[in-house]
Amino acid sequence: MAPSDWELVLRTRKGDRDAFRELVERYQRRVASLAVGMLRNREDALDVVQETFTRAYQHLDRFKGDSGFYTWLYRIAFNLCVDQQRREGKLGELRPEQEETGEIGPPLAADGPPPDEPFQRARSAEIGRRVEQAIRELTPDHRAVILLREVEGLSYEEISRVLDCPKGTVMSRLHYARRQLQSRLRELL
Amino acid sequence: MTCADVERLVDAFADAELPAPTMLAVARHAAGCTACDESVRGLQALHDSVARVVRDELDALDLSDVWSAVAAAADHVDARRSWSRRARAVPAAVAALAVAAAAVFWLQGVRVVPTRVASIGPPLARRTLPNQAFIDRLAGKDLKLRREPRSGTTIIWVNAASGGFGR
Amino acid sequence: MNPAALALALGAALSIAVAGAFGMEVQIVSVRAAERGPSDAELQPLRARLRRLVGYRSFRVVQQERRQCSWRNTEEFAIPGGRSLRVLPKGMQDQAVMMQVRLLDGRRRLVDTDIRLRNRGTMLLGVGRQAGRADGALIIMLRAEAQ
Repeated sequence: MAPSDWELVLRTRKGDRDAFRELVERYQRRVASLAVGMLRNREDALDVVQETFTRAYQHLDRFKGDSGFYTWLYRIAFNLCVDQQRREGKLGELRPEQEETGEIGPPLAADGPPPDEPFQRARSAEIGRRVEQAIRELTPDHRAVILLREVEGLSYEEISRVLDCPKGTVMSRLHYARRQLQSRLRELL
Repeated sequence: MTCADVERLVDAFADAELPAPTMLAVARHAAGCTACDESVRGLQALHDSVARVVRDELDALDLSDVWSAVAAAADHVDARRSWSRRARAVPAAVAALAVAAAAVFWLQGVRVVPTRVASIGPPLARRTLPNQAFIDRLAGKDLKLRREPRSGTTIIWVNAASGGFGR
Repeated sequence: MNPAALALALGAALSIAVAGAFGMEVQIVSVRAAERGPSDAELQPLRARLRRLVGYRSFRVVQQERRQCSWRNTEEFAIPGGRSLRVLPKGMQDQAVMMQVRLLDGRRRLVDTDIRLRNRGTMLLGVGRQAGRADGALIIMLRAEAQ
């Protein structure tokens, strides 16, 4: 039977590097899923994934086991994503050619599903871009609740721990974010 | 259960966050009400779209190097912790001996430095400074200067298209 | 004060006093910066720092050179894109290497600066992408160590 997260944490604290590796491999995809949804760029998302686990390793003594390990990881990742987005606004002036491209990150789902019909392929790609754009237009707090709920499948209680806000706030943000997305994607959904 | 009730509860219903009897009541209402059924399906469609978009992007991400990068960073963390532990453990007697030896060496006046250069800017303080570089003079057109405070790194950025001066 | 810390500080001061007797070593690394794409493994530890500084996300080494430089002699380093970096080490003051650094594009001076760079420290120069040139933005990493 696979060791629990808590067992792996305890072993890591005693110097077992392989135990931490197992934690990384167990959760890197989930952390990456949140990061890639929050940020505009794959390289930034990878940076956040690496930094999340680095910080987790560094501060493992702070994890008390009273919430899921992945909840704790998501919290670290979410804060790093917010920091990254804050820096985004301050970095623009050294990259004037950013305006020339007119696009910050690579388009999501550019390849789409593999249907034979080229128009359908183009349509799928367009839907993907529209959905991605609509998600991007949400504030970070609203984007986070959508991603944690719709993609990561966290409960309201878990989301409230990740975002350090009351459950009622999670519910109202989720309601608002969903209505915003539905409004922007009305003809697509 | 009315349509107004369902409208209020539909998010929690879609997320299975309601008590079982309420879940059942909403489901029964939606089964017999086209508009409320549409609301529930709309949330499902939204869920599917968002999940698909993020999953596609996630699938394109290469996570194969994550562990090696984390391991390297963990080595760094461990090395810093180990150094702090060792520094705290140095016996006072050994430290005093090192101080005495260094003092004797200095008193002998051993100095191997190049010819002094006339000071251009203000003298640097003896303590460690956060910035790695100090700029005493800077000439150029269309330059930007930025410092990264965490590492003390400075960059002088020139816009190649419009920068440049003189020959 | 902690005797161990004092001993370490004195030892460090001594080693720095000895440094610089024989000139300095300059390392120049030219890095191509782009919006997207992979980064060279050797630059991975610097990626986050470079990202914070210049905003680009992909960094690849295109050229690097180490050279011994003697005091008050100009050394010229070739930089990609027909550019050159002229470094004139002037000496050491306190714990810093003093030098004049000029970045040229052909004969056009892009940057002319006098700096004091902490011994074994790094400083960067960046050249934004020029219209019509496909070679992307360039970051020049300059590191100096007194010998």
